[in-house]
Amino acid sequence: MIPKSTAFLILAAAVVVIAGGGLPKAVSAQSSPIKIGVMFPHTGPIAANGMANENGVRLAFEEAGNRVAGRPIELITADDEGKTDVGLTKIQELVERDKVDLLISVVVSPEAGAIAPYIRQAKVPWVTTASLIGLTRSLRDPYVFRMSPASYSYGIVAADWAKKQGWKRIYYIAGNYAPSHEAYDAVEHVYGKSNVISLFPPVGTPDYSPYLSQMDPSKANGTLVAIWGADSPRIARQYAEFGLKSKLPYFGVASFTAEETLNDMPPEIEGTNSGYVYCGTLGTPENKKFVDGYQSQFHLTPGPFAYLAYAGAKAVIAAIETTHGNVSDKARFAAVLSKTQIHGPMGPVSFDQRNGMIGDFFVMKVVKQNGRFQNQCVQRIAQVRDPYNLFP
Amino acid sequence: MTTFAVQTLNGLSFGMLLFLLAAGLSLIYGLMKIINVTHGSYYLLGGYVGLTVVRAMGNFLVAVLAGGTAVALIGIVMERFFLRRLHQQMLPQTLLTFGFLFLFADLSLWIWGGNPQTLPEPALFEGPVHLGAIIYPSYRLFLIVVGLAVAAGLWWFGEYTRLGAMLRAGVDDAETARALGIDVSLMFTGVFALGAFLAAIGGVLAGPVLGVYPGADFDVLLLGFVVVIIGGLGSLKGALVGAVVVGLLDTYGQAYFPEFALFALFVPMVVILAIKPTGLWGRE
Repeated sequence: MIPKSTAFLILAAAVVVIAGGGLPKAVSAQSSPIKIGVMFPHTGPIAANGMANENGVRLAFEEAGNRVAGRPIELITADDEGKTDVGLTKIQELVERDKVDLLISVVVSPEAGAIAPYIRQAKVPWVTTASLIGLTRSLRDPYVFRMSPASYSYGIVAADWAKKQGWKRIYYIAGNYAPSHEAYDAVEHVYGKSNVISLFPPVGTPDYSPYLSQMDPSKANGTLVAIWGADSPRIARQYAEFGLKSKLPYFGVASFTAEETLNDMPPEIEGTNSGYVYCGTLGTPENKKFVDGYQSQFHLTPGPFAYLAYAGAKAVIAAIETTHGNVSDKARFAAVLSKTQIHGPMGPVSFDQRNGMIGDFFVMKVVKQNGRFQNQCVQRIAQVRDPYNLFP
Repeated sequence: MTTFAVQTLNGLSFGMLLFLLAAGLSLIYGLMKIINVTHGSYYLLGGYVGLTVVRAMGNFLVAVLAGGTAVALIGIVMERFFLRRLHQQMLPQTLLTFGFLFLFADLSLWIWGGNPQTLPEPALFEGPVHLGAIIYPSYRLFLIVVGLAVAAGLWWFGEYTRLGAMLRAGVDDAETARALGIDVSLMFTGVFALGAFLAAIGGVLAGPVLGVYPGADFDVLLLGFVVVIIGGLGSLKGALVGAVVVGLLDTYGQAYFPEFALFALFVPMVVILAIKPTGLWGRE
């Protein structure tokens, strides 16, 4: 009953499909897929950050039509649960069993610290969004790329801003773990030890009241808050609850007002300043494309976590194009990636001589627009580098 | 002096939240000899259900009751259809509740997402109050009052009601209580539901200050265990004293010896385990 022309079309399609299936062998490895291992936490307390990272990677390859330099891209995802032991096992699986050509993975600093030595031995180019300073210091390696500012950098940005406000003495309250101690070193460098009163509650402290009750507005002019992830809404609420917000202004270090979680923050977050690498309302065409693409694909608002992973994937795409799809020569690919510069949603991004990120920083202020919180871009700090001169 | 008073209030308000969690943990163990690890999930689920209700209806009291009731139903289902099949087998029961803990953690991640969230404070308790020289958040005072009221209510129920007497009989000797015609089976379910209810309202009440977030279940569970180890499993008085002690130790530790904050909490626990393994008011 099928008309002849339709039957012919089906036949023709079948021939194309069969021929197409046989074709790649003849055309050689150039059109076989490039396998990229993408491992971020899907479960556990930092799953929200992990999924934002993964979505950023997906969006970048989606925009490229999942095909770069004529070769299809295959993303192999894994869930590291944000745990060091799980991450190390899964990364070995990706490299040794799945034989991935490249890795874009790991957002958690301690986990990144454990994986770097394995990368050195496996020699697979690895782009991570963890901010661990060790990745460009004791753990540095030609195959290790940190698409995230050093913790020192966000400490310096915060302290410089505080100085500019005329704050003579400051409180520094931060989660008791590596990145916030590293940022503290930078703050102390700017302010001098005697002008910073530091408090380090453990990460995951349910109740900050013992610390907040000690803070005395007569002893300092402002506070730098380096408390992130699931802990940040609590400190924002409790800081206001103890009546400190009006007497002792505070500044959020790094991802404190990340767009990914901003609209789940308590209402007290309005008016908060912070300084980090992504400002959602920046009016560049690249950012508009990024925000619109992300929203239409995932129905979520992108923020710094999605941005850093997106920038990392963009850099990888640019490097694949430069090498004309040749990723089997890993040493050459890593050398090319190291020299790659992209023009991303927040302007130019590249790697320094130790493969640390160079990118712009923004000082932001949380404002409410159309019933939603947004980061207003207050000041742009161009091309911030890992301060090797201060902290070798 | 003022700071010390404020820190004491901080410790008490945190302790009262721990009491709501530990009361059920302790009662369930006392009656059924089940170490219910899922208690952390009850707290978390309570917080999330409360959040949803507050967002939909804007009434905090309704949120507390809805969170408590929904989770009490989950507790009933768990007890009736799962734990009952493993009656008196402590290890399989604990493992089962451990499994539920993970199940609920991922289920709530799936439903409510991974972003940390906070509940709005009830309008009545917004802002601080002045108590002489002290300025203190009124919501935290409210938490202390609620905790003490729940403790008093449970104490009255246990000491002065017929049901309470039956419950005490069940805790002392379930076999004999059953022989005397007390429906111990129904009581098991009832206590399980009550424990889940208390943990869940703890989760809702904690929402405005501590927030709800993936991982809160494990965080509070750890402290809940410290409370019952210090206070003693199976005793309501133990849960109350343990919760106040842990709340104060945790607060003073963090305020006055921040480097040793965890020592301040866990050293007393280790000492009590060493000299009185059943806890201050525990039973053999």
